[in-house]
Amino acid sequence: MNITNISEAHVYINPEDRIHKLKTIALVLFVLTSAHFVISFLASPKHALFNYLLSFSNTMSLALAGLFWTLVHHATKAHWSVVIRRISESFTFVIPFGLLLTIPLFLGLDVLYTWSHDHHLQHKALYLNDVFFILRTIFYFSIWLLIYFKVVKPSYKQDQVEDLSITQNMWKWSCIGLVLFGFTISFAAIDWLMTLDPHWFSTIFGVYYFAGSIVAGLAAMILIISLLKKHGYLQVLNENHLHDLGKLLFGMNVFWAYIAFSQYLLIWYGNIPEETIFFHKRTVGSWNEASLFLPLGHFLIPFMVLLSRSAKRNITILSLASIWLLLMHYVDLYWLIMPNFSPEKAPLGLLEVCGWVWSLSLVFIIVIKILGKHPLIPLKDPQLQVSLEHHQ
Amino acid sequence: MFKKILSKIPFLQKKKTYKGLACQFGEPTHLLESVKDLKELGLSNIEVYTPYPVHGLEKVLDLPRSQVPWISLIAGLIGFVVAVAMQWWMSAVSYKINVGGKPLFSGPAFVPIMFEVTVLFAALATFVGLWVFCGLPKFASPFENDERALRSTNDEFTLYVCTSDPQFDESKIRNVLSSKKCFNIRYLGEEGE
Repeated sequence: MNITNISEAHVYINPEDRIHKLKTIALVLFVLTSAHFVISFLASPKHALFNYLLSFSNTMSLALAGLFWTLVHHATKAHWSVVIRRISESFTFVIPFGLLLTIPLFLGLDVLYTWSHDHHLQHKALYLNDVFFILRTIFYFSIWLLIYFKVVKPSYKQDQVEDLSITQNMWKWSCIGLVLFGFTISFAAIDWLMTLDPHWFSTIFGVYYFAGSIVAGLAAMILIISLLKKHGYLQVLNENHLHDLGKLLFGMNVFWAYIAFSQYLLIWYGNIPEETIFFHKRTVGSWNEASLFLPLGHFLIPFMVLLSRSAKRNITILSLASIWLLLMHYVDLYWLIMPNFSPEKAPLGLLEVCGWVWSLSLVFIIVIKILGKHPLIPLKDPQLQVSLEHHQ
Repeated sequence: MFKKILSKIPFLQKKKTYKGLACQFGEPTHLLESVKDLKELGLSNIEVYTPYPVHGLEKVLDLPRSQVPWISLIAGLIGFVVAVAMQWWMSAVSYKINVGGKPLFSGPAFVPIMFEVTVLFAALATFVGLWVFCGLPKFASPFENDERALRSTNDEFTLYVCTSDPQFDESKIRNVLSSKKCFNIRYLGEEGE
């Protein structure tokens, strides 16, 4: 195999690079925000736990989006995205940590979820009870870890041995993985977020969380790519790759808007109290402004910004849009979760900001750590050459 | 701006001369090299006919970006406004029906149609715009009697320099082409009005 255009210096992160300094900064931020979480927990456990759930869902969003994009890459046998695959793969390394992050949730079940003590919900107790909830969450993680071991791990093994059967196995497992992934993320979203309001239900809820997650994950991937490019790495990734990433970001964001509106339209049309309660809750007090901000900030503004071709090929505009969308996903999750904590007004303070920083710094540390350990491009992927020559 | 766009629509223009020097290529790389060298002669009226899109050709030919996206955008916006106006007039003005106690002008119910009409207008305008800017339908071409030139729809590439080009200088062009791997250099078409 004849690989052109790749120089070693662009593929391995230099151990003395400034990127590692950023990692140290992220570590400091992570420790500080963790400390703030603990202090807030001592002062007001409920507020801290709800914020923790928010940070946790955001962290898992990014991790699962990384897994999803890796799976889609393999399942479609895509050529162009070989050079960006390591970025999406590195996000999946957050999943094992996610299993640890569930422990505070399990300990705080009684505070977070009314179904764990509400006797009006006896008829749902078969599904909504503490033990089954914990078992289910562990089950989802075991499925994700299975996919991770079958699809992500072999990719790193391929760096050592040039073996086509590894790629073929990843293709096979990613197809199985996508089906499993679709069910598990849907049920996970229902368990973690929808049951906060156990009387309310929406069949599209899992897809809603999924749609928001893949946008946020893609935005995070673009930001990591932009950071690496700024430091002189991944120079083989040209503006045609960026353009395709931009198109995906744009398209998936429209998909999120489509799902969000589908949920709203059906509930609005049906006008059944047990369903409309969800949106009614979010029109009380300052929640009304938050509800109006979401379609504007999560859909209309990014739509306008990313509409033109030149914006998608411009790394600065694309990065700014990505930061914005990453924030908007957090606002989206905040809008889903927090009305259950504070129905009168949208709480906005240091803790909410800390939660966002905590989640992003944790993901950043893990991603940079993994990227630093392995080549930034799967050097022995049989389709690498096609990806390097990617054009319009 | 408007005049500029109009000047790009082939079928609104006066008939130009269609006489030109043409040659054939077997390989896209040879074609690309020749276009590069001819561009250095200052020629601006070079046309290239290929059986499939050749990457990098738009760069060597210095082709401007297509204007069609603007047409799509404007038509889409018009479609959006039309959809809003139409539904407002039908549901809130002309034929008022109370549906489930909802307001006569209820945004959420109208959104799917706003979306559909926006897409419909944009898609149709893109289609028509593409035809207009490509000069379609085209019923006559200097190529239709030249068998080799017709091969550019199959397995050869045709390069064509119009004699009306101000920098047209036959000996210079032949000089450039003779050093390239091209064949069948000949005049095509007739002088127009």
